[in-house]
Amino acid sequence: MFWNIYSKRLLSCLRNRDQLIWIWAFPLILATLFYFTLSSVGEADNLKAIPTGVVTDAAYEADPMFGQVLDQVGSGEDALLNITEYTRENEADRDLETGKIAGYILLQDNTPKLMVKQDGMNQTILKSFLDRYVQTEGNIKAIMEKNPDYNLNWEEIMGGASLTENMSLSSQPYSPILNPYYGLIAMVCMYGGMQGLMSITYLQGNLSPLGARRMMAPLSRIRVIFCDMTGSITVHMMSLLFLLFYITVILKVDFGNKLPLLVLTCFVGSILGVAFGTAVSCLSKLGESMKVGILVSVTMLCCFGAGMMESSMKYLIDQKFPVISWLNPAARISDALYCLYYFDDYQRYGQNIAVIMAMSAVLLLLSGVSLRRQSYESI
Amino acid sequence: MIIEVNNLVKRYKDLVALDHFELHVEQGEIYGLLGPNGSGKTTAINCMLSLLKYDRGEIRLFGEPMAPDNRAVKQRIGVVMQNVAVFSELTVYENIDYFCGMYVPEKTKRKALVEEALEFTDLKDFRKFLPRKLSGGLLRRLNIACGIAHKPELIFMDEPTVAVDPQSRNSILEGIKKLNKNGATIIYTTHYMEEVEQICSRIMIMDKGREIASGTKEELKGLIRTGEKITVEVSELAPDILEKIRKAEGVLNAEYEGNLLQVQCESGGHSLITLLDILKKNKIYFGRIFSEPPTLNDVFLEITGKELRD
Repeated sequence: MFWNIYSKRLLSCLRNRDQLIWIWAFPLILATLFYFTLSSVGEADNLKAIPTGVVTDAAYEADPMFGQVLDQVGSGEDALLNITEYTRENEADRDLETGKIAGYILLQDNTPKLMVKQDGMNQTILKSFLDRYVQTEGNIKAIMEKNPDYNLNWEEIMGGASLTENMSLSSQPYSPILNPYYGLIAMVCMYGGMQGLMSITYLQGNLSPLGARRMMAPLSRIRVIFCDMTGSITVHMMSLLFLLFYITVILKVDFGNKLPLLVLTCFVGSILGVAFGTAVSCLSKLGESMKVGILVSVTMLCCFGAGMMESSMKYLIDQKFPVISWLNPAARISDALYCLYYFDDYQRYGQNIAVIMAMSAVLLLLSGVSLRRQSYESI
Repeated sequence: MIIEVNNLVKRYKDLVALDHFELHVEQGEIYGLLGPNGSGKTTAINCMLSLLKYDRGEIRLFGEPMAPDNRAVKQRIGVVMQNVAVFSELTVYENIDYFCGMYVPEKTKRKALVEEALEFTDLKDFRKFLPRKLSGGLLRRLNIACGIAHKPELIFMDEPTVAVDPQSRNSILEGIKKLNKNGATIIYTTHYMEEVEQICSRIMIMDKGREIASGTKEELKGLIRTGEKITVEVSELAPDILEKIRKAEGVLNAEYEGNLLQVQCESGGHSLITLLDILKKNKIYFGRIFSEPPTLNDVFLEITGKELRD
């Protein structure tokens, strides 16, 4: 009996065109879109040194401090500027015209002036660099005039030395592109609700003729639901694993090296999704299309709160409304994935998994109680 | 007694859907529930199947009280719903196998039963078809196959021929007779009187949730005054002669329109001879003569004052 219902459920899900689109194709399309959109975010983090000219005329030679600062910011692997020296201003002008340099610096009256041809990111960075230099140089000169004996390492200060050090809590480097993918996986988990909803619809005599026919079978409803759900979760897990494969192998997005736990998270997330759909179907007396509408709306809202569309949203809700965040199933799933990638200890991950499982249990329990009590006033 | 329904009352708020409904069906019968839409046929079936709760009354199937969790009784029942109830993503074979599998867990036994159901409904050539590829008639046959594959002793068929072409309808009706011949008791609801006349051993006419009359078709027709309906082709008929016909013994009513004289007679009389005498005496030449026995629609019309298909 189990195999009969289970296998037919598998076939039915795999042949359902709507499900093929929403559970298989749509996430792949979104993942591809994320890939193309977010890859530029990664690139933006790795800024290249800005090609900059400096006119090494007499005024430049007379200000050795500025020359040293330029040497400092123009050298090393993480150099801010790629300096080209010009003995004459017209040579620098020529290269500026042809776009070889983003701008050039000319010292006039002991003050560096920036010459640019257009507005842009590089020009803005150059401008803020020079503004900072002028401001800091003024401060240092004022301090040294008042305290000539004070041993101030002005070269380091001008070179942008920081008094703080970045420490990572994780062995993994920070990746700004992962959150949307986590949100996407959470969304697909929540889409399991469709499977749960269809299982119940096909088991409720007042919702479909199929439901009425299945209710007439000499089997307990809980048994039929169990077989159905096992089939639904299997298909859903297949779609999630396929999505994971696509993201990690085809798109080459690094999700870390904890693959078994990643799959476990997808599995419990899938159960939660199916349980969610089951509860929506059992606990309301609305028609099927209304229930689908509720399911999709709630799923999208949860995913929005989990940072799928805007990464900062999850952080904002975590900070301002922590209870809502803990009750958001999509946020729990994406947070579990986040913890897996960034944290070496499993405390927060374990909490997330526990909450997901507790939510699933509550939803399934409520559904079971509701189903047992159900009677149909109108078929 | 296979079915005993006593004093069944079902209300939807203020609407009384079943009003002290009674039904007693013996083994081996094809029992027809006939009535217009909204007369309570489907509600009665849904109550009998425990798909609907009812307000009052008692339902016993195979001598046992019927309840949603009475699986022993459910095992012996087959249901053919008014709407086609199959999985659109499963093939004909898979659908029949699925529903049969809910009753028969053994795979080998089930395989034989599914093959038999395919044979019975003449769907063998369509076993790999998805339901959306089937015509309306074939889809209805699939609906029936899913309900009867496990060989139930009692089959509820709720308007299984709705929206089916005449050829497929005949094939379905023949199939139902065959099922009955093989030992199944059948409850058949419809609003097509020809169907119940064709296949049912006993009939109940329903209206407004209650029984209006029941019995064999002959018994039902014997309940009313209306007898045969005689139609005569007459080229011309004077009003005074029409009046004479109306007043003749055994004639309930007579109308003349478009060269056709239609005479409604009382049951049990020899009205045709009387009518022909009147026409001869008045030198009225007539063409073809048709005589139709009363139909169940006449029974319904005479008892309720309205047409069965209103």
